[in-house]
Amino acid sequence: MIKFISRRLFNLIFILLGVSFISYFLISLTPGDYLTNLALNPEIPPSIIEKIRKDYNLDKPWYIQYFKWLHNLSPIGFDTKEKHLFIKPPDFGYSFSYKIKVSTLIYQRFGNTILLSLAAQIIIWLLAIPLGLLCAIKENKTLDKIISFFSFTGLSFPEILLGLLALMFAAYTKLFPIGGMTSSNFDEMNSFQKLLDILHHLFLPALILAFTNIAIIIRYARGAFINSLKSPFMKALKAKGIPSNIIISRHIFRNALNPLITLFGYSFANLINSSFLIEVIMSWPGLGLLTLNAIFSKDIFLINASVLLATLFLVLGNLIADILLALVDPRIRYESSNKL
Amino acid sequence: MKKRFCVLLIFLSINLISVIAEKRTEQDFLILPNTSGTKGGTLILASISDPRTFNPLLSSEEQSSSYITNMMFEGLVSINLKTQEIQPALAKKWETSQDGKKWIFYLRKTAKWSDGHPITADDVIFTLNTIYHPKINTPSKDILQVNQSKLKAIKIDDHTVKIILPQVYAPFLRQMEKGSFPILPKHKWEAKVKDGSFLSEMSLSSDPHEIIVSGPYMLEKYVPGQRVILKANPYFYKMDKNKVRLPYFDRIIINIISDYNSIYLKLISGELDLWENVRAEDYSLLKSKASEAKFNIEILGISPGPEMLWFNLNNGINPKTKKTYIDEKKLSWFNNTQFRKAIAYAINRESIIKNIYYQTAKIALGMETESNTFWYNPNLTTYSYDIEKSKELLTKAGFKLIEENSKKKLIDKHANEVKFNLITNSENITRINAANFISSDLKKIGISINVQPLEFRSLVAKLTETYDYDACLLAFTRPDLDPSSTMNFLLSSSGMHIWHPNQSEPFTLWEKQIDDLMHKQLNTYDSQLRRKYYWEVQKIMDEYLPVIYLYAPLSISIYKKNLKNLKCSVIEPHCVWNIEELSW
Repeated sequence: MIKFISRRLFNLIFILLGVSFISYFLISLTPGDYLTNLALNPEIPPSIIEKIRKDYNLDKPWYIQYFKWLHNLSPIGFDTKEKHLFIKPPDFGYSFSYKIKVSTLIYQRFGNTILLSLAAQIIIWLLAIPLGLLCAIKENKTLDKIISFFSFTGLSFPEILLGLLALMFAAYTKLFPIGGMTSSNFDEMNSFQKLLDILHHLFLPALILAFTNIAIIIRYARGAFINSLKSPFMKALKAKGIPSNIIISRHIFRNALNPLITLFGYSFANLINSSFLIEVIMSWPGLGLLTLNAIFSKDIFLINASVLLATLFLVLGNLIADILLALVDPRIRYESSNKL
Repeated sequence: MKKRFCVLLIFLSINLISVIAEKRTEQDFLILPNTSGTKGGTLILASISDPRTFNPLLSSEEQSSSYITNMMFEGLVSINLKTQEIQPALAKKWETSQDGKKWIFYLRKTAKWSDGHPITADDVIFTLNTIYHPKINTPSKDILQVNQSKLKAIKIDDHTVKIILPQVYAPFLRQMEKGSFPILPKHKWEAKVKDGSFLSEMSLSSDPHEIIVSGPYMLEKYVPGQRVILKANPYFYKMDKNKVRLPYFDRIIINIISDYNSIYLKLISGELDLWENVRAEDYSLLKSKASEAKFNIEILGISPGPEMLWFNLNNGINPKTKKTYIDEKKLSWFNNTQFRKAIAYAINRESIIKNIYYQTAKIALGMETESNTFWYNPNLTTYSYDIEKSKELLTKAGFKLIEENSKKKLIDKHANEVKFNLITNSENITRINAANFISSDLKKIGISINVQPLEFRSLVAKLTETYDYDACLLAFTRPDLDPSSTMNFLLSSSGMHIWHPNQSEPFTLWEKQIDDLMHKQLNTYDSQLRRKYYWEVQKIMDEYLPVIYLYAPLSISIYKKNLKNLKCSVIEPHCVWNIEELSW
């Protein structure tokens, strides 16, 4: 198991390298750089723009900029004067737009995005598994069709529209705040009130994020449960006379979990990436807004850090899914298989 | 008895002296004779995006940053955005020498920084040196230079500074305001400027206590992605007519709301007190909700940056392809003044204003709009919608309108069909719609154009680096109404002389005339004379039409009914430029 995990983590490094390389290359294909935006600003003289461009190495070709960035990022540094290697803390660079370290920026917002995605994930899985089971048991009956209909509505509804409807709902009923993560007087609250305030703000965005992504999980859960329900050992259990609820809770569940767990890791990573739109609409201060602004202003270091983070989540999500799978399903043990 | 009398006398004289002293020092406060209000309360504002920095030397890059630093830092003078007058700020008065090159500023003796230190001439000189420091890249460095020569600042005493200009320079006094010359505290930042790390100070991750200010508000807290909280500066140097120290509000909360719809919903529900940039498409909705939600929605006037349609007149040779940047035949059409005038007569501006701006825009005749009351030349030609006149001009210019397959086509002397691309920025839907209207207008005179919306960065690259476009529809913002702020646009050698940038020598006679006139208006302090020159420049622009000015949107702000002392103006920051005077 340890070997398996370490090999996956080692592959992770190559994946991250590849992704960042492609990202730098693609960005270089678009015209201009961060400072192009300032060229039409009447208050900024062009000579200053040229100076800043030189300072930030933006006038060098993209592969040189990539290697410089890589050098800053790696924990191993190479000193060209003394010609020796040394250990240094990895540096993600400075954001041109925000003028502070990229790591600080991401650290400030990263927790907020995780919170939103986690809340949505909890809502989805708490609802999807029972609903999927229900659909499987009542397969092709009216209840199944109704639940499927609603879940697909959520999938096809444009998130932006749902977000706007939620904002209007909040404004007119005054039950929920209109976007944002905290109230204006957040600092004056005690810890418990702060927790309640965040949950109050969290509810609508998490609900929308969940609603638009729940369909896939319900369908998968339904399919997995149906598979288990139709399998031969079910007949044997029924013949033995074991009551339905024990069959479902003890046997069906564990067998159906196999595909669901694979989905868990993937869907968590997917949620982080799909939360971007909701964050913008409902002013949730997360990575989504930050990355969007970074892309529009071609803030290269920030874009790359966000891209790396998204990739990291995807790979880690899948890794966790695989580990969980190995733990749950005794048929799958990575050490002894020939796959490695 | 005598003893008691002496004691009484001494007591009275001490009182008298202290009263006189207080009156003297009080005189150094700036007393606003027409302002009164209630102290206390909180004002809630909104911003579409986070500020990027709290350092006033870097904040002009982003409007979201300068919005906040304008409430925190002061300059030697300030500009009243409503009346366009220059008013005293940290300097209580100033005088200039006979030759106009030496200026002496007298600072207020009682002005203090937010940490209690006095503001002195040392701070002014320190600020100028910081701006000129080779390691510090700030836009002010070039703005505060005259013909590439730096200004010299000499300390006369603790509260008097002399600034020497290399020549008479009309906009000098205007540049001593907080946007281009925000005074910085020497006692706080001298060490950081010396070791070159000043530009990373006063950043988003700085401790609010470290940001020492001279303006009405100081930073209390910044919550990333959510809000900026400002609190009143207890040492601010302005007072109202009742000697109450300004600013009135205890706190200002600027919420960062990324979505326009949220902003409007918050306005209607009363959670937001003021919003200054109402878009044309949202005006009627907000107007209908305004009275029940206790709001005033005010049309401030025409915004100072009208929409421009211009053609690429750049006849330079592209060093890479060894050919002109655009097709020779297109260059010959565009460089023909009659052609450009014909286009101006062919565009139905009223229709665009009615259908796309829902009447929240007005026709603009030139680069200045009526909002610029002093500098605007009202005697310009009206290029009204007149297709016949347009056809007449085209015929005079050697073009022919023919019918082919029941479609009109315009051809030039060499039988080339007249068609070209019109680029504009894709983020602005209103502008793209306007471009489509223009396209159908031009079809009526046989010209077919292709509207190409581009992402802003790509657009800028074409306009300033690659020059491979035919025509463009765009508007520039005007940070200041003085003609000196148009120098970059009007001088033929400038990179922002958008129809033909970076000319080593003016290509046309009229561009040379504009260059000369603009240099002349820069070299005198006589505003009547400057106006004479500037009116002539506008007349030349009107005669040769390198840019066709179409219309300017109305500047609209919305604010709670019970906000007092608002003096909203069409120039940014519209309503909060006098934030210290605003009160409930």
